[in-house]
Amino acid sequence: MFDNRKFISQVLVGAGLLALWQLAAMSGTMGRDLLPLPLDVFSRLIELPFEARFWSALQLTLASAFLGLCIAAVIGIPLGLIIGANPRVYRATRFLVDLFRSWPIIALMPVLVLLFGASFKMKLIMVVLAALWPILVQSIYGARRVEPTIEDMTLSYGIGGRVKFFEVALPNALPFIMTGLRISTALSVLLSIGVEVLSSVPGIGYEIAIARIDGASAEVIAYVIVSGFLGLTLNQAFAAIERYVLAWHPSVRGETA
Amino acid sequence: MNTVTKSLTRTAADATPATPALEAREVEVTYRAGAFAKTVLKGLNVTVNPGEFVCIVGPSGVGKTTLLRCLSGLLRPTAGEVRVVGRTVVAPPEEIAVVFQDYSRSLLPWMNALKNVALPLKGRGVSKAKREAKAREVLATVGLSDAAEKYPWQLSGGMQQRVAIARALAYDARILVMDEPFASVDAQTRFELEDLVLELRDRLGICVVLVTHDIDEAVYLSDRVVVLANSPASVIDTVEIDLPFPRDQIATKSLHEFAEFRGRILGEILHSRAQEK
Amino acid sequence: MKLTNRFLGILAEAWLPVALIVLWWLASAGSTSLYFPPLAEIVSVGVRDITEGPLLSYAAFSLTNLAAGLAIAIVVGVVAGVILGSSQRLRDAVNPYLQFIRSVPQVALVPLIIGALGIGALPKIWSISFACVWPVLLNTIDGVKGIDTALTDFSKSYRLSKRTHVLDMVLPAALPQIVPGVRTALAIGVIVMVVSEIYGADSGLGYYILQSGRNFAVAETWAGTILVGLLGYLLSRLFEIFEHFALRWHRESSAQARRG
Repeated sequence: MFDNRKFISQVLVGAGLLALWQLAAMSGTMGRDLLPLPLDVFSRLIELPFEARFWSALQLTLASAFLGLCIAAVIGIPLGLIIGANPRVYRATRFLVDLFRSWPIIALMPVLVLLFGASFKMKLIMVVLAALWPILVQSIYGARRVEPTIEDMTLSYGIGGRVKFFEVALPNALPFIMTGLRISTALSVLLSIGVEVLSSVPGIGYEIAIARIDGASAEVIAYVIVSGFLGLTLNQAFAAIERYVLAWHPSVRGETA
Repeated sequence: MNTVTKSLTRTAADATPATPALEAREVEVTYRAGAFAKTVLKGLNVTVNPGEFVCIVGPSGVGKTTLLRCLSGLLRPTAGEVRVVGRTVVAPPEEIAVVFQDYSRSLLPWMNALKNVALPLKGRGVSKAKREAKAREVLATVGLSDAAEKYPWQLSGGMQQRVAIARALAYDARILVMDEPFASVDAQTRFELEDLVLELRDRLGICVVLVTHDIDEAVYLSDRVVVLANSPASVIDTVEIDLPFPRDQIATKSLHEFAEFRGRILGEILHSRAQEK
Repeated sequence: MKLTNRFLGILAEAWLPVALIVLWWLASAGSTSLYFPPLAEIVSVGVRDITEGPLLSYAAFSLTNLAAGLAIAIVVGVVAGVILGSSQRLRDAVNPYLQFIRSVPQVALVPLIIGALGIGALPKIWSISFACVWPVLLNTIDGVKGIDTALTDFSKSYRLSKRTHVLDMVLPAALPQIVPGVRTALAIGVIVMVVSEIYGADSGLGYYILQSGRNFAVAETWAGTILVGLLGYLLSRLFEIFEHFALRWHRESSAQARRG
């Protein structure tokens, strides 16, 4: 049902924010450098989709984020399930996993630039290195969180090997794996844009950095807004996938488990 | 409606067999946690003959579930042994299927009823067509022909437990081991499920070992009741329940003998409790 | 016997990390590779720059910025979160904007803020607090929103003052949600800290890593990178310890509830 009052209040807040922005920009207290006029930003936003450069930047950012996420998932999920299923391996790797999950991977960038140059490959490796850990950690967690009753059931009914892995262990860990993937999706976009901002690897982040150097603050804000929509879209897309994959899970069914 | 028809297969089971279906001999279980050790079961003997319905009763926390885990091969006893058809149990044996109390957790929420029931067969490498046919057959046996495509969370508690029972039947087990299977369903459903299990035992000639803290349930269902008490737990009495079959929720429970059995077992449990204090 | 158990437990966790470090040490011992200097050299360079060089003051610069940025984010996030969490109408009105702004990859704003405000400490603090405020805010809203109506009814019927109601009822009840928000904020804050220092600075750990890399002083680059990693690990462990104590009542009461 469409909620009229809610919609009106949202429009009012939006208008208020715009007016504040307009006033702040006109007063010049924050400097045009930081805060361009809203109209300049919107006209840039409308122009952008007609520029080939914009689409290529968007494509390059998405490509590194998506590819990096996929590689991280292909490595992280099986590795995490194996580590989580073997208490000895889990204990031996616990410190390392803890160490790397809290490691600010972006600090590795200067080293990787030395090794691979400021290239798409370097960006991709950065994304994989950052996106791997949430997926790995959650997969380990999921593999370790098996209901004792389910464990007893598989033992009692002699379910083991491949059937146990694909029919029991994997779906059981899936809610956790999805959480890891969601965190990593956000991280992979963050890292792609971060690397582009800091090195001269093409993408949305690079456009922001270049526009900033040119003093084109409307362009900077326009690209920041684009990156926001990118993040929002990925988030929504991911939520839809999650609802589909975990249709059986209490959190999706809207129950309190 | 609650009457259970007695079929002919029971007569075969009536004969005294040479080897018990399931046997616990001097079972002892001690849990260790660091420097602390707690003996839960000690010198425990239980015998279940083919086709027999045996209930194990005792107060909450006495170690019924521990005994049941031993009987089903999920737990190795610290001392003594468990035998299935004369064989010492070292891992969960094929002859036994366990029905867990917590049906909502033992059924997999990501599979519909049919797939849940067919899962043990998939573990055995049975072909898809065969295992689905079998699963549909046993679902019909427990009165759930229409629910095959439903997920556990779309079914009531009683229906979920029927699915769990169907899964045990699909496994072709000769011995059904049930851990307080009806503890979390309402009274009406509970009576229906009790009669269902009695009927299945008659029809399939399987034997059933059921753990419960409910003395009425134990007397109503059993050929024999094994009473556990004390700490560490041991068998304080074994009661042959010679109430007539078929059993009936109203008629059987109003028999004078029913009340006697019930009084005897309750008295023993209360007595052992009083002594402990 | 207890002591040996403990020793075995530590051994089971430590053998692999120790083995890997030893392996790295031995494998890189005679290394002449430009990119992979001997670990021994990395360590000695690191120790040198900590004791004699600028590394200690750089680390202090980075950590003060992080602490200040995080503190601002927590104060703003919790206050705004309590306000938004207590009013459904307010929440409805700002929600779309909130969802959008928190989806902006936080590092995208670094060039804007630092580019406009310069390379000193203050723009970095702004960058960090702007990035960190969203997880704190959103988690606080969730926590306040989820408070049992019985608590509000209690405050009303005993006529507790607004101040007591917020400080003694709302905040503690929302704490189990606020704390994970701060944990997320900490992780993001460390990333933005490093990015802001690599983007433009004349001090800080990110600056050290960048400069040494540009001068092809690879051992320094590795030393700085490892130091940042260890700091990140240390901060998250410290936070875990804090969390353990701050949420003790929550953990124990929910364990109690599970036991029934």
